[in-house]
Amino acid sequence: MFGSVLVANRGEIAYRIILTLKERGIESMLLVSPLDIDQLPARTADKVVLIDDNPFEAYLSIERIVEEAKALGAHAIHPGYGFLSENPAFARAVENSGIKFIGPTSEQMSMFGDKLMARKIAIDNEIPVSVGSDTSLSNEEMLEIAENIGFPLLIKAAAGGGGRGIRLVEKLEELDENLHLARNEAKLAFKDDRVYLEKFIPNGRHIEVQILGFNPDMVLNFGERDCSLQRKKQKLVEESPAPNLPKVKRSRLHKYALNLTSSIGYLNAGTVEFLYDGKEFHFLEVNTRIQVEHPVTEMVTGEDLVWRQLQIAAEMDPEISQKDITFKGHAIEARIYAEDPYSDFLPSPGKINNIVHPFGKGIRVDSSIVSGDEIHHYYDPLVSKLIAHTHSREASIDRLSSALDEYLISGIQTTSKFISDVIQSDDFRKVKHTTMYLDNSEFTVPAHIIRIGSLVSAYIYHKSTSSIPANQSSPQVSNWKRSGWRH
Amino acid sequence: MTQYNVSHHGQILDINVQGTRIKHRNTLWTVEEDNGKIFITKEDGTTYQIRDVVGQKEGGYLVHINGYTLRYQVNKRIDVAQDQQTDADGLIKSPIAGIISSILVKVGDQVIHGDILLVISAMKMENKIVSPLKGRITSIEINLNELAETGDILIIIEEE
Repeated sequence: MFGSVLVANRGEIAYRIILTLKERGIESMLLVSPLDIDQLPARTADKVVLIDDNPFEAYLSIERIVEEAKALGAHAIHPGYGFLSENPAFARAVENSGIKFIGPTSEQMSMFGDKLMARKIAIDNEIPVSVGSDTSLSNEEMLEIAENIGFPLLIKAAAGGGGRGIRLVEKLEELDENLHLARNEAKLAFKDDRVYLEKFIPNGRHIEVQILGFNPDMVLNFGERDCSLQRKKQKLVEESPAPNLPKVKRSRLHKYALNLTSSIGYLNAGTVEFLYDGKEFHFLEVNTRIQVEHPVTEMVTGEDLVWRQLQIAAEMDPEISQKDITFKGHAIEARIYAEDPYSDFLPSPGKINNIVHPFGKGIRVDSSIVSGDEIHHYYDPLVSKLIAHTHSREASIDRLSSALDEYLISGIQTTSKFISDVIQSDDFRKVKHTTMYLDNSEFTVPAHIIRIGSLVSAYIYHKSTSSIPANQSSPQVSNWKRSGWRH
Repeated sequence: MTQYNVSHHGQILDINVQGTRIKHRNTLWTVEEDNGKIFITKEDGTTYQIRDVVGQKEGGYLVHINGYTLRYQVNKRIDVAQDQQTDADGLIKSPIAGIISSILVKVGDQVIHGDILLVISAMKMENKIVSPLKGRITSIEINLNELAETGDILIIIEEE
């Protein structure tokens, strides 16, 4: 096993990886931006290097990260998710430096990273895909194909993925403008303006399979996750196993994922994503990294996926076969984002005055945030992931919901209570929700709660602007400071 | 009693406060503070605990109550009609901080209600800024790839 691993990431995933490294007696190394120097991952890692050029250099500069890893003598690099985790140029630079990259080979990453090529590999392996265009074409050619596919349809960036670089087009007249916008966005975000068309499946569920390739001849299936509850194509709630999925379909789904990844001898952690229309699965993409939602799989399988990634990268005998992977109970994860769910999920960055993570039986919290930390608009707005694991889906919904209701996060707005209300809904309990559900339903704050908030605001304002009687002033002022009151 | 108007997402409530007593319409409430915790009690005895209140800019508050975190703006009572008039002009301001990722109009363009003017990229999301009125673009106050702060004027539209 490696003596040391550099974590090329930040936030909760950096902290989560460091915890596995600690548990296994491996030295943890971390590069941090000035904004993250006082946060939990930096406090926990064994060696920390401050990269103070700008907020992104520590997490996005390929040259700098490889250079620092070499200087520190790191044996391997774990890229986490986001940032450079799916950048083949980064994987290649790490491979060439003699340091082990904890993930697939750069070549495999390029193949699945190109969504058009991934589609082709799926078709070659008889895995169902939605009707679409299979090569990058001119607008005129796209218009012709679009008429055959029918509307609404999706424009997807070949270099996109994870919900990014996708546009929904309602009618033919809007296609040209949207192609233009999609290409611009793709060029800006991915430096690759190739886009393709795909039939839009309106009432689909997003179901994905976690696989791990231990060697080119052994890819194992770690079960599926249902991530249908999304807003603006970003996942909000994930669960494992997928509810209401007949046994026959589940095994077929697992077989698709294994066939696809085995066909290229895929190594390390990967996720094969599908859209399920109630009858058939439609291949979406392969994510070549550990996913945000990996904890639900860890809870039901009892596996530490980061440890498995380390074993694979170190070419250690994993002492595991498919029959060792068993599933127990039901796990659901809620993503707590710094966003206002009642104002179209507008970002709500800022300083967290007070955060009290839920705890107790059946609850896991993956977060690196403590009171006083700031959620910066430079980075992903994820504050934490709250996971409930119990014997059944019903019980996990109730356990997660009660933990979300009790979750204190003040100073910013979050998706916590919103998710609690959504998972308590009949639609979610009875699995009637699809990926479009949150776009077409409304969850609001009860009127009496809004009113009480107004009363308290008026009271606090009144107190801050009126003179305070002398005999009351000192305890009240200190109390307000403690509860974060400032002006 | 001092009268305040408190707004939340465009909803405005008139509230009177005197000491720890609060009146809204015909209901009286009392506030009690205990070691940094805040409790608010209705006449009938129903009590709610406010987990935290964080002051923002002048008169702005984030209140954490029953799992919800809600944003409020408090003003001493002012003339509401006058306030709305100033909101109706053609200054398009940024609702969030982010990078301008596309500008889809140019000076002189005719726009109608709902037309996409530009796109602001913030925290992984593309946020479309649409025209609230029918008119002509008279000025674009920001450049592509520039960082806009919340409240920055982005575009000026002359209403037609």
